[in-house]
Amino acid sequence: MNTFYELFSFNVTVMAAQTDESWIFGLDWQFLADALILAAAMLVLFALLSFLLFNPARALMKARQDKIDADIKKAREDKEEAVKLREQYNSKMALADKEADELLSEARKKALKREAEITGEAKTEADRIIKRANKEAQLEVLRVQDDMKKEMIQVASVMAGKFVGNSLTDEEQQALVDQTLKEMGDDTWQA
Amino acid sequence: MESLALTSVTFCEVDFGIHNYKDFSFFGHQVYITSTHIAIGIVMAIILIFAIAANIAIRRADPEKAPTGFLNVVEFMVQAIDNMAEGGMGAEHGGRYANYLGSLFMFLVVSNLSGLLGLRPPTADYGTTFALAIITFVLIHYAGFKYQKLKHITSLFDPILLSPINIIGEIATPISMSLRLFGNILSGTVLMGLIYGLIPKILTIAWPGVLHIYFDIFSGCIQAYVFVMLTMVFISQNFETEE
Amino acid sequence: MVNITNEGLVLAGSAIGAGLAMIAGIGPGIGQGIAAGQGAAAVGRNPGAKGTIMSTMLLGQAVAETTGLYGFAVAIILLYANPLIGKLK
Repeated sequence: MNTFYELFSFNVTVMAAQTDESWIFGLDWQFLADALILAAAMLVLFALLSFLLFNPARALMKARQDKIDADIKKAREDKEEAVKLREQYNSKMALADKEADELLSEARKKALKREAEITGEAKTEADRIIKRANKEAQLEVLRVQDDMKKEMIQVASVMAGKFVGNSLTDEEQQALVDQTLKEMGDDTWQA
Repeated sequence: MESLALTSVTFCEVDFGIHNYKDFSFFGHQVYITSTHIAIGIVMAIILIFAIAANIAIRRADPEKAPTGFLNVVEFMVQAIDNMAEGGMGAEHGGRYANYLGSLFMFLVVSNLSGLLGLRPPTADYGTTFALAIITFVLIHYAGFKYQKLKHITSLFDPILLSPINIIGEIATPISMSLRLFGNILSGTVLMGLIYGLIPKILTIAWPGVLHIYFDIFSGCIQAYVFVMLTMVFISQNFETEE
Repeated sequence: MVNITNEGLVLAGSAIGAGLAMIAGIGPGIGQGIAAGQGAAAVGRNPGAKGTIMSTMLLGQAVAETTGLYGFAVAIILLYANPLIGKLK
């Protein structure tokens, strides 16, 4: 300490600054005390900073990172599930389409069958109706022919009666008609 | 003695030494509370205030939400320190030493920058840097004995002729580390002190700012980084168990 | 030279010795310059690795600085903690 003072004593400004207490470098007990104090301070600082700053900050960041990781994982799982669901949905939709097609075609087939049945029934019914109508028509024709025969015979018998002379009784006339009818037969009428 | 009285310009006092304030007894020897100790106290107070503020911010923080403002700074810092430790020592060991390295780095940076506050940087006292280097020395040999077992001792005598050089090399590690930090910061302090004594008081407001930027900020940050890097390198030398 | 004291002679020698010790600053200056140049060349070749190159260069420069700092420590000791003064008595 002394040496510094004396070395710089040529400079007034420097000299004014130097008190006896000012020093820069010394390997003495002061140095040892400094080193021990600083080492203790450093260890205290290390402990306090670990406790106050580093570990809580790391824990916070870890918590956040864990949360983000969990979120990402969950999002990925959700996405996978969504994809799976969509596939399921798509396949189900395809299946449903097929089913609908099947149902439709079946219904169509059934409808066609039914149509055929109905038309067949209708045809047979119509046939039946036509047949019956024909029969009825035939019967009608026969009846009308019969009536006509009877009418004509009556007319003829009346005319004949007039010719004969109004002498015929009703019984005789009837007998005559019958006889005529028998004689004429159907063939005569048809010709 | 009277030669400088010829100017009427007032000069700053040249002051870059360590001042003694209060004496106390240390193992029967009289030692002093010095300006270094006061500066250490202030530096630690700054760091601890920061740490407590960070702790409060962390306690209030919700891990569900994105960090904002101050918390961002804290997290960025912690992450940068973790990355530095893991980059220098490997992911396996980096985490274990990250807390000490982070504390060391913060202490060194704030100490080296404390020249800006008008303090005498604590790292410009050899007692400080020597203690830090001794802690590093202890960590180096702790790691050495832990990972290399007895080979840590036997490798010193590997070629028996080189054993003195090996031993001196081991001892020189903390000395060179402490002298490096001490020398760099002290040279800055001495130069700044001389320049403040050299120029008239009026000018000291303005232009030594550039020198402060170099000696305090640039050199201080680089030396803090270098000290931490060297600590990591020397410790992680002992991790290799092969050969 | 008549009035010079023993102490004064030692102090003068110490001051000269401190100045000479600072010649050690040459070596680290050259070494750091070479390291910086090589670092610049490396960044030029491989700009992507700038961060690694920077930190490696700074580390190397810090180690290369050691000898200069030994000189500085010697100078500081000669100036402020002179061991030679004590030998006079």
